[in-house]
Amino acid sequence: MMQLWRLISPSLPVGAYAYSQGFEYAIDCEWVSNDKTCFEWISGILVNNLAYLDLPLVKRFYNAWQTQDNNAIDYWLAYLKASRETKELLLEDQQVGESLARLLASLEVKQAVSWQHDTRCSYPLMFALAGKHWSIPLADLLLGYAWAWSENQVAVAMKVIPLGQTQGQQLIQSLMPKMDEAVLIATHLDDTDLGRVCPGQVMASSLHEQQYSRLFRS
Amino acid sequence: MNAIVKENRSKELINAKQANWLARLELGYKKTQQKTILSHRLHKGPLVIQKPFYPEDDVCHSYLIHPPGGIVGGDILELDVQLHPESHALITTPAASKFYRSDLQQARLTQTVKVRKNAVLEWLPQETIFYNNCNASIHTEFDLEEGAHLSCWEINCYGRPAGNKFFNQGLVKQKVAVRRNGIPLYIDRNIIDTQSGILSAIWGLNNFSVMATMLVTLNTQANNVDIEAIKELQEHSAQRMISFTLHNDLLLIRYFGRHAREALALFAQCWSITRPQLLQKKSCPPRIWAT
Repeated sequence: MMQLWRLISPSLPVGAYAYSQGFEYAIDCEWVSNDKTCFEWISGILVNNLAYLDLPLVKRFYNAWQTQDNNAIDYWLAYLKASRETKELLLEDQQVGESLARLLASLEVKQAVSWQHDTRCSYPLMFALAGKHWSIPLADLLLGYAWAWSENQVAVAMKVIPLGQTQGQQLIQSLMPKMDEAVLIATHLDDTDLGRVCPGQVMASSLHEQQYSRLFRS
Repeated sequence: MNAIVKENRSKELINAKQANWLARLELGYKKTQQKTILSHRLHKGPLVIQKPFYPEDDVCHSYLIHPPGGIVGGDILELDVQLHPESHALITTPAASKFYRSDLQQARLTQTVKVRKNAVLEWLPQETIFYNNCNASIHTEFDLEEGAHLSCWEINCYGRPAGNKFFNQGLVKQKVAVRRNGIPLYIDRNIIDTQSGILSAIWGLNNFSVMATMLVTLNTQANNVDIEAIKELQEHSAQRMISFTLHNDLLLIRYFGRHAREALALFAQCWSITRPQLLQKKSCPPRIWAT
């Protein structure tokens, strides 16, 4: 269990805190302005996008690492990259993935070494590798991914809107059942049902690329 | 979880019933010395192509005609297009495609497009209108070989708000996949399920009834395109939102708004910027767009 905690610890981060995935734009343009709209944004993306892409791909990568199936890794990696909708979302996936690869390599996870400078590197791919290496059960790993993503989004809201610590705690509490829901969807998803676009997030992420003043890299 | 149960349930219902009819159209384009010709055409059912014409010498312009009465639940349409090496085709539709109300059965359109070595496809259809209570699935695959170019767009209208016909209930599943030499470049899967709240949600369509996407392959020619001119078209207002991004050697332009004609005009404008730079041809808008 402690291996999972270290993997998602915000005090020992791999850099995801620098990215908002379009959330900063959504706040800037006032789609999101309070705790209620924050919940709508984060829970909507969690259940309608993360549950259909990141989480089921973590599961597929985890299985591929376990069986050392390099073809499956290549296939799902190309699938994931093609499904990232904007330049910033693609770059974030690569940069955070590479930084996790560097961390894992320094902790002597041998399979991470060659991914440190591979432009195909991806965060779900490295997250799954860490999970497999430290023998974290898949269900816990998926929930950990959903938690880390949600907490990071809440941190964006606290910084940009801003929200206080108590509101942040209340928000994360209301998101907990949504994290369970997302993991449940992801766990049972067939290959043919993979991927779902949240158009508002895609538009926000695309427009964020040109946003004049910004704190986050996506 | 609800979504999964619901999806499985509707799959069973679809399987339990026989399809109404099947329409299938196969098209092949070949490069000859002077021009690209429609070298293969096979059709079954009311999905047809008009006689090609040549407003710019060598490029084969084609009008694809969907069933005139619109598409309803149980209909299965298959379109299979192949562009042979070096050929150049422009395909559009003379009118909007319509998916009508279908109680339980799904209406299915499958489009499989192969663009062989150094061939050019401009896939520029007019809008698709999804009527309230429709149950539609549209699956489009573009397989590109080395050097092949694709410019394409889709303009989706959910309901007809201008006539006070809102899209309150229904399911539209759309998947577009673009591959280069078998490797996915772009996968876009849109599930417009009214029960998820996607049409009004801030993470969804924000109450815009028209969502449109244009995609242009750049190969290694990204530097040739005047991105600044396209950037200038970006907008965020109460009437419309327009954004652009570069992704895996693709230029993607997205539109949220309320008017299909506006999306078509925007994309035609982008096309008039990219076409001369990428294909060394002036844009040549099909006359049917103006009618």
